[in-house]
Amino acid sequence: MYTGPLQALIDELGRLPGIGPKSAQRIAFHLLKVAPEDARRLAATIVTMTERTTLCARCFNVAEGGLCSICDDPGREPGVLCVVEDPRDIVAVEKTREFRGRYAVLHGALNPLEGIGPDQLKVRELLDRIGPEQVTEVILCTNPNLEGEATAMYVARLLGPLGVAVTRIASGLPVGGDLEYADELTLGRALEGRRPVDV
Amino acid sequence: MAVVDLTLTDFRCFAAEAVAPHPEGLTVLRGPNGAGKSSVLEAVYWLASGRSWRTSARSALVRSGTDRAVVRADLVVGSRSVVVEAELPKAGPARVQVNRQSLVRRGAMADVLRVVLFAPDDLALVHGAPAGRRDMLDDVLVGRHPRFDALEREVERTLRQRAALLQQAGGRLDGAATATLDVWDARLARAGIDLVEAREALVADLAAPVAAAHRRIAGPGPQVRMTYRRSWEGDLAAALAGARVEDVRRRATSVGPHRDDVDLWLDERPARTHASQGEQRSLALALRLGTYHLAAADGGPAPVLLLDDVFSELDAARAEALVAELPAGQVLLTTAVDPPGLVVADLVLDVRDGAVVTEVPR
Repeated sequence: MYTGPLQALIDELGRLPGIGPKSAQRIAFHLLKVAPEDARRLAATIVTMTERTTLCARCFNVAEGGLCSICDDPGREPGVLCVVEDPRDIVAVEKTREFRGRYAVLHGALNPLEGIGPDQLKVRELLDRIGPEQVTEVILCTNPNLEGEATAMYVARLLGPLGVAVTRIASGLPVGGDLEYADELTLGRALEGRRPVDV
Repeated sequence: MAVVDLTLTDFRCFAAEAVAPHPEGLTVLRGPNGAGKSSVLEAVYWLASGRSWRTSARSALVRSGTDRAVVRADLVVGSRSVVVEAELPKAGPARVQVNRQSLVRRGAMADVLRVVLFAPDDLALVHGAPAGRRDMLDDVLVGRHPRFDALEREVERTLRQRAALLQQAGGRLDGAATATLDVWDARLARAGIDLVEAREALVADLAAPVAAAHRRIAGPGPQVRMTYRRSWEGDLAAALAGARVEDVRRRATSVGPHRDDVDLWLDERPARTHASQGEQRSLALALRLGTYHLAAADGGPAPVLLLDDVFSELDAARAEALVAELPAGQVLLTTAVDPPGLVVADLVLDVRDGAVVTEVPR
């Protein structure tokens, strides 16, 4: 136990994801030693971030007021939507530079054990975009685990009657990897999803 | 496969003890009750399965006054030497390493160490609740193919998600809850039928070796049969839909792989209710030995056979039949009484108060 303000900071840091008591203590003691302006800048950055960052009014990606940079980009194809669980997944898909459409962030996946049902997700908002944005294809890019698959199936069933093409990303082997190092599950899924060879 | 060296550190009553079983024959662990004989078997069983048949409390495995147990085994798998090391903290996840590489998936352990155990509690396989019989099948499936490990976990988690949803529905389903339940049912139907078909194939494969083992142990007499009984008829998805109203009301899933059972028969009599004590013992032992023979016939190195306190459960005739039945691979057997004269141990270990002393093999 340390004196008031120091312990208060350690407690605050310890509440952050991925930071245990030891790390919280180390960070707090580091901040104790830095120049006051550095500490002030860090505090200000955090405050600015929380005040200025909002969710995109259209896709619920992180944004700075109004629309996110992707929804604001006129070069983006409006007819294709990529559905992801989390804004961080957008960054992952964007790195591929393969996708030129827009996104829809659900902010989670169906998980009754954690009390997350459709009402906790941005599913309604996704459906409401199909007509106005003249969406023709929805790519379901949720995680390939039980909850992500269930969410993909749930969304696909709701999209079915709306007459859009619904696709699910493939599961398979990492490119540049070796078959012998692949786990049986992934390799099994890759076999299931095999395709004719283009010749 | 065989355990050639086993080191137990703060495991159960052992502070630091090394045990070297006979690599390809019968090792008898002898000693009074409470000396730690079963704990040696338990350590081997834990390495193979990640749990104990004696307790579900991790803290029971850790010697009192210490906060973690370490079990290390040198294994021989075919012509390979493999070192397996497990660190079991009183609380929190255990760490298992195979040849100093972290074990990512439990199912991968079956490649280096598989065990078949017979313990006194196994009588419950015959007369006890269906869960014990399902677990027996599921354990064997994981040994047969690592993909069943993932499948079993998927079914289990889907059931838990469905149960949580039914709890939250509170006896009534609105539109949104219905649509989500549809999705979990579809997933349960798909994974569930995969698991059930694998279990049914296993029961079909087990039938002959179990019946044969039973004949050798119990002699001529009633014929043993096994049948897998699904908790539903027809299509699982349709059965889930049919049971939905009742499931919502009771807030539980009433059909699926978690409600199935394996029926054991002695001729036309259901063994669960109609087998005598002696018949139950023969049948339980036949199930385990049949499993062993099936695993050995599946190819790859034969599993290690662990027999815990078998002679306390068997009469002289059955004990002799068991001894004659012992396979050629590695067998670890514990006993508090003098084993029947027919037992030819390749190695006898005396276990007393957390110490293991090698006796001169007979």
